[in-house]
Amino acid sequence: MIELTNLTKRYGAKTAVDHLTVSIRPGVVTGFLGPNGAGKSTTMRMILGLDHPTSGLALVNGRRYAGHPAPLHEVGGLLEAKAFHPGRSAYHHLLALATTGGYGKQRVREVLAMVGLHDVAGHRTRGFSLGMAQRLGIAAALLGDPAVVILDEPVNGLDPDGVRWIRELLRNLAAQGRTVFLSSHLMSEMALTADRLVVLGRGRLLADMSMTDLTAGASVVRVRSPQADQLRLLLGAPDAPIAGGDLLSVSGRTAEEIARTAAANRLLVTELTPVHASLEDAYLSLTHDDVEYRRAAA
Amino acid sequence: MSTIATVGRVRLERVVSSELIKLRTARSTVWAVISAALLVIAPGAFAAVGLVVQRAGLTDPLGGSLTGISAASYAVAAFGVLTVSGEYSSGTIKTTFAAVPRRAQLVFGKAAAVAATVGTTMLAAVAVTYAVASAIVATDGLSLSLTAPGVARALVGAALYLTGIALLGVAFGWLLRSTAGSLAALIGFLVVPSIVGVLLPDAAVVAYLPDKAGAAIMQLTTDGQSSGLLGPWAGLAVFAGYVAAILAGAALLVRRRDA
Repeated sequence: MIELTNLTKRYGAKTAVDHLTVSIRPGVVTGFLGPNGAGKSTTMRMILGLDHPTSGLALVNGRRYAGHPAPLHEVGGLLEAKAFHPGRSAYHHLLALATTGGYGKQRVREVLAMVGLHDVAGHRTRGFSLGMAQRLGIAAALLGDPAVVILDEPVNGLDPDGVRWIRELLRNLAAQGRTVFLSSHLMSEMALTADRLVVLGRGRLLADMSMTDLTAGASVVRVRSPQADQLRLLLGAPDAPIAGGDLLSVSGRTAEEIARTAAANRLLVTELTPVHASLEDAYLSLTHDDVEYRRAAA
Repeated sequence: MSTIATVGRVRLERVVSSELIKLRTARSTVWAVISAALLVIAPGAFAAVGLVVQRAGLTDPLGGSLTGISAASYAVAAFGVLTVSGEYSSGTIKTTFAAVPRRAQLVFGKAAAVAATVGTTMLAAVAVTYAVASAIVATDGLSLSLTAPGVARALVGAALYLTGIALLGVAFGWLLRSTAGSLAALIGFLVVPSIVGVLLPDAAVVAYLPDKAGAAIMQLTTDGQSSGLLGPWAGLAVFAGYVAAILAGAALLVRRRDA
């Protein structure tokens, strides 16, 4: 469980994270989305105690991260690929980490096997590909058998096999009752992996909802009618855009509701098509609205 | 099942063990220690040869054993700096902070690991140098004596001095994070005050400057008059004070700073 309360981070005049209040629950995979510079990485760094909040609180399993006596057992984090000394072997990198918590060599071998790096465990990490580096970072995150797993862009640089592997790994971790929180720019991958989504724009919370609600909210029904103007008013959707004179794009109404309204008012409808939004559509309209709103307000 | 209750808990001795693993598993730090040892041994041995060649008798009761200490001090300074700056340059520091979120524990744990490594290896290097020097001067019928006044203290003191320099390297590494910047600042800290100190009206102040205070433990005489240094133990105490103060300052800064 991750609980952020009014979490704020300012760098000089720039506000990277702005009064963020959100909870990330155990048992599901929560995706963390937002445009570049939205404050995702900064938020993750504050959860892991790497950066200090300007104000507000970031709690993990009820405490600040640094307050936990066994931190690696509470949270496993992967914030940056290739965050290890290039001259040290994968095995020794993990052994040094494991030793801080008294985890033994056996546990190091287990996580190396878990991520499929046991054959290259003795190699220096200098020669590791981005995909191998990601696997090593994930091994480090899993070392302490953590209740919470936080991964920043974990599928970066992974081949299709690796992408599938991490998707299954994350879903398994969530199914075991852990909290899984990951950011990614790959919408199609996020759509397959995450159950819930937290969307950030310019440091502020734009959405915190299930994947189904988010995509349903962005879905529309395409309606073609010679009396599009009248129908639009009756549907209480005066803003619904009209394309080509007779084509309406209605959000917030099911096709059935539209059909019943049209029938009750004896309006002719020549086309009625529900258009399901992809996560990408939903995300883009959400973050686009944020930008538009800011522009209008300015 | 006490083992289950303690697994995962971060404790200072575990941090020290972890840091020792890091020191011996990266080539840069291993080579810095090896070169420091060679810089102690080789000049010391040459100095002993010089004593024999000059046939001037035993002008130095140490047989020239400590000739390489100032050269070796740069190598141990680099070693100390690298143990910290290497983590920043590679990005490992984030993983390390996540594993040891109480950063003072990390700063002092790393310092302890560095002190143990440099202290033991440099004591061994000094002992080897002294043994080699003894063997070399013996070819000329001269003999060195560990019980001669100040000899044993100066030899152990040299290892302590190098340990202190390495710890200053660690502290400057934390303060400045980059290898080159930290090393330059540390050398400046050791050398510049002595240069400026010469211009000071009160010559007594010079003895309290970091490198002069640190060198006091390696002097053979204890009167402090002829050398212009503090007494050996007073000098060591002043030097240890600098090390402790800068390390504590580094710990405070690292706690406050974002990773």
